This record gives sequence, structure tokens and C-alpha cells, in this order.
Amino acid sequence: MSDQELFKALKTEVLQNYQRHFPFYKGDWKNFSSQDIRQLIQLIEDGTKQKISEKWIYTHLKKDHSNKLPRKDMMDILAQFCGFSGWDEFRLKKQEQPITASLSGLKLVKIAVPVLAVAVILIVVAILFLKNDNTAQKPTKTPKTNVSVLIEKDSAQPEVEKGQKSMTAEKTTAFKPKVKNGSNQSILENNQKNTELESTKAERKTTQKNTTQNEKSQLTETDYKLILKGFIKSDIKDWQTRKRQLSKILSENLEAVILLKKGLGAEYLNKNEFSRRLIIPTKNIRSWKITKLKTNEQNKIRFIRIAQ
Amino acid sequence: MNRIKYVLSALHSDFRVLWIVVLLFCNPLFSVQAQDIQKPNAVKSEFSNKAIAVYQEESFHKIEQFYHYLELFSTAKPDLKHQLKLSIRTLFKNQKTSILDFTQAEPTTVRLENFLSNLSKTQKLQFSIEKQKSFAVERNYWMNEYNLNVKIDKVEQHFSVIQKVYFEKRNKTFGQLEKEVWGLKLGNIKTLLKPEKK
Repeated sequence: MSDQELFKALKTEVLQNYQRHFPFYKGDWKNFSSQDIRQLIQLIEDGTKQKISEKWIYTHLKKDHSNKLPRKDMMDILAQFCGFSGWDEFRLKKQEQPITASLSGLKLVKIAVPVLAVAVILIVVAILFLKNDNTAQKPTKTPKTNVSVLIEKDSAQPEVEKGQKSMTAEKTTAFKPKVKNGSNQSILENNQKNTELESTKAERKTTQKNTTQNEKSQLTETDYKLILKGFIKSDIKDWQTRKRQLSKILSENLEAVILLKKGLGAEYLNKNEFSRRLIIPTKNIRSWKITKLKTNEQNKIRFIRIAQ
Repeated sequence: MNRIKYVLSALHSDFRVLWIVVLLFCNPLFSVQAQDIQKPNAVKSEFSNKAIAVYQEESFHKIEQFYHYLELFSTAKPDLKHQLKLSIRTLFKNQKTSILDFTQAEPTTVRLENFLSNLSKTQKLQFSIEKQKSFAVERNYWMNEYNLNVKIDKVEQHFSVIQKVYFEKRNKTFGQLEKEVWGLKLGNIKTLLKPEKK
């Protein structure tokens, strides 16, 4: 891996790290806005205590192709932001990865070829067997649709396809009177029961998946602080996005307390008032600093204290 | 004898002064003002002078906020205009507030809503304000004085403006909760002098 490629990988990691703090951002470096740049600068400053200029980000990160590699100290800052000690560690770790990947790729090829060969043989045998079965059933004059259903049921298939099969099984129940063979009927019934069980299992799995995804994607109070910090520093651009996001993250019972100069007074804002201040931010709110933030059981912001 | 006469006349003149003082305190204007300050929910009875000064400073921020919204309003698309209207309305005490309509050739005061609809017809507006002072606090309001520069289509106008600012306790809903909180709201805007055209 060349240094240029490694720097590209570092850029990707920086972007991924940014998305961890600002989960609503789904773009790439090309559509990385000036507001995003400001937020990234702040994040880097918070994380590494070092500064990167807006211009540097424009020339080295936003640009797709650059023949020149940036200064090492700058790459050190970015690598530190991504959790490495510096550019050297990042380079070392990334150069190790492709080797292991290619080794594992070789292993995969070694295993996959014989498995595929066996699978092809099995499929051919199965097709031949089924053809024979078809010819054997022809004299009984069973409708074609039912036969095809039974064939599908006999063949062993993965779970997902079993679900699809259940659909066909359900469809065939409409043809039940036409099926004279009793054993076939019992197979159909059994299959229906199986598919019901499978569907409940699948439902359970999806709900489990959803809950784990929710747990993973739950934003912490620090994340919320960073999101709001970004909104405070933003301009009129993207006001609709901010409006949508604020309505999602703020609780209906939100109480925002803006402490005035020297703590001698305070302004109390509810959800609508606070949202409006951030949807169209004025220069006065640029000095806002979130000193306290609390969330409720639904993980929505219910209390914010801001100092000016 | 003469000495007694002198003492009596001196006492008499002292009583006159005393009478004047008593009459002054009985003056209805004087007494109303004193009552206002002592009334519950009167700004002066609830806040220290330092705290009032801080709120007065904050009231100028609210005024700046209003003119910032107006600048955006003049060039905004309909959806943003709607959002800005909501934000502007929140700043004012009520919709009956009269605003100096500087979009007209001869500025007059109009209702807030009329002012906003007049503003939709104008070209790009630019404002700059220069803070002057806040006047003494009445029961629940004070007046803010500032200089306002308005630029419409390269024509600049200068106004010396006075604006009422309410500072009062009111019930505010925080979702299902309702609380009594103090808050600032903007009021009527008037011009002190005739505008100067540049």
C-alpha cells in the first residue's frame, strides 16, 4: 500500500469517526459542507488539543486527488483523532491488514473450490432424481402445481427460502381438494405448521435485531452536546434538516435555561422556543456553552443549561 | 417677648416646609409610583439593579435578533418566510404591536402582521443598530433607545428609535408542565425624530 493510498484510508477513517459524532451525516468528503468542516475542527480540537485550519481541510481532505502528501505532523493529528498514536502507527497497522486479508483470501479459495464442486454434483443428482420422480407421478394425473410444491418441500433448502416456500404452500392449500393422496395432505399441513413456527422465530429474530440496533445507535449526552454545539455554530443553511433533527432529539417537556451574564438572570425556553433559536441561529447564540444536559427514558433531551 | 415671637415664627415656617413635604407624598402620581414598585411581580421588587441591567442588555440582543430575522425575511423563500414569521412572533408580546414601517416612503406605524406582509414586497433589506440606552424601569417594562440604519435598494435611512420592552412573569408550558417564569418580550416601536436620508 502506497503512502497515498494509506492517506486515503486515513481520510475514510476520519470521516467514519466524524459520523460517529454526527450520526445524521451520511455524505462523503465531496459534500462535506463548511458547517461540517467547522464541526470537525472542533471535534479534532476537543480530541487532540490541536488545531487544523479550514483551508487545510479544503485542500487536503475535501480534494479527491492530490499528488502531494500532507505534512507528517498534520497526518499525526488526523491519526490521533482516529485513535492511533500517530501516522506511523496508522501506517504500520494498515500495511499489516492487506497481508492478512490476502492470506485469508487464499484460504477461502482453497476451501471454496471443493465445496462448490460438491454442491454442483449434489444439485445435478437432485435434478436427475426429481426428473425421475416426475415421470413416476405422471400416470396419477396430479395437477402440475401441486407436484412442483411437493418437489420444493422435499428438497433441503436454507431457512430464508423455507419462508418463501411457505407462501407457495399456502397458495397450494387452495388446491387441496384436487390432491387425492392423503400423505401429500399431511405433508402440506406439517409444512404449514413449520412455516408458522419459522415465521414466529423470524419475527423474534428481527425484534431482537432491532433492539440491539437501537442499543447500538443510542446517542449519549456527550453526542447530544456535540450535535447542539454544531447547530449553535451553524448558519441559515440546512435549517430544514436542523428542524427535523431537533424535533426528533428534543423531548416535548424540554426545559432550556439560558443563564445571562454573570449568572444574574436566566431565560427559560420550552421546546418550540429553543428549537426556533437553533433553526435560525443568530450571532448572539454563538457564545452559548452547554453546561448541563439531561435525557429522559426515551433518550430525548429533557433539560439543557446554557451559559453565555 | 421678642425672643418668643421669633421662636414661634421659626416654628411656623418649619411647619410650612413640613406641610409641603406631606402634600408632596400625598400627590397621587408619587404614590402610584411607589405602589407600583412595592406591588408583587413588579420588576423592581423582584430584581436587584444589577440583575435589571443584565436583562436590559439582553433586551438589546432580542432587538438585534428581530432585525436579523427581518434581513433574512426580505430575501427568504416561502417556507423559510413561514419559519421566520413564527420566530418573529415569539419575540413580541402580542400581534397588536405597532411597528415603524420603514418600507414606506413616509414611515408610519403599522401592526406587526401588516408590516411583515409589506416587507414581503420589498427588495433586500439591511439593518444595523447602534445601542443608546435603556430608560428607567416602570412596573413591568422599560424603553430602549437605539439608532437604526435601514438600507433598501442602495437607499440608506437613519432613524432614532424608541422601543418598549416588557419584562414580566407569565405561565409557560414545558410539555405537560406549566411554570411561572420571567421573560422578555418586545413591544411597540416608534421613531423619535424624522428619518434622515443619505
